[in-house]
Amino acid sequence: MSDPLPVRIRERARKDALRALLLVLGRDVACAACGRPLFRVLPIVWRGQLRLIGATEPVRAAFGARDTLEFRHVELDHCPAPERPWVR
Amino acid sequence: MAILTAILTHLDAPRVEKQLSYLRAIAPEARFVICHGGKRADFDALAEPGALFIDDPSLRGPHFDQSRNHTLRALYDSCVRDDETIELVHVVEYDHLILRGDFERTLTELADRTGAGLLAKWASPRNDTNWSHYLRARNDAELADFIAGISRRDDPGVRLGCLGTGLLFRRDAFSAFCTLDDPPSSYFELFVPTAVHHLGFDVVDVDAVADVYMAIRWLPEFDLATALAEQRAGRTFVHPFKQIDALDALRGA
Repeated sequence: MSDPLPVRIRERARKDALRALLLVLGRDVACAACGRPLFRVLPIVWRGQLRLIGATEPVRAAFGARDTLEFRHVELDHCPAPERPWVR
Repeated sequence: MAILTAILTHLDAPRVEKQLSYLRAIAPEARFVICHGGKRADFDALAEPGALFIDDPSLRGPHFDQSRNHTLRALYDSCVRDDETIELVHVVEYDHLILRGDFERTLTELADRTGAGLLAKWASPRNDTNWSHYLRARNDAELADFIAGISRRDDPGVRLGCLGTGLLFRRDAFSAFCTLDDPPSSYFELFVPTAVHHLGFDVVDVDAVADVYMAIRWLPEFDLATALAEQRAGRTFVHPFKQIDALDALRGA
């Protein structure tokens, strides 16, 4: 059963607004392992948190260097590597 | 090495029987068992003698609250515990389409090669991820206490995740999981691989070691044309494929 019409309209408007925001202000984030795009996000730093507005795909996050936070695919069938020649 | 393939379904009897007919036509030597988590009337209408009715309220609630504890325990009690010939247990959802009759050989070779207690798609630790089910569960005190109580690992805080279909258990790992005493009713895509890991078995991501699950995904659904294309490409499995009424087209291809 789908949501009532007002709920669907509100949800659609919210998604459209987010999409427009990301189109204008967003940054593409790529997988640190394979280089493929992960998502387009608006990064915001606030009170000890780095928020990635628009991050939808499951990713791993870890510091690759003292000042560098890296993101990688969780789902390896999206992440080509020499040891996985079947992933294209 | 004998495999038992359990099919988790909620469909009505004609469609369950159609699916079994398709599977037995392409893989006549394979052993299948139906685990029916749908309406009791649909189960009662089934002519399949060995089918199990899974009376678990979590299967009839929100998807992301579903547990597999009752399902796997019922499967173990009814089909595995007293049948020593079963060495691998393969658990699939009804929309996990088997395309090749030699799927058991493929899975057996994979199990032999990896030695894993559990093979599953996307199976991996999730503590460093934004996976929503991990984030929901990380402050779950009941889950944490339970895992700490069974863990044979150095770090009882490790949480794993996987896709919930295409689970391939080695017998000893399946037995250990299914004989857990009063496990919490946690979301199965997190709880099953996490518990198996903490019981001391290796949990392996199929995509890291083979191409056999490359046509298995969460969304979008495969339609008949794309499923046929995957079949022509030699794929063993496709998921999600919900057009049970179209199985004849795949059998004839």
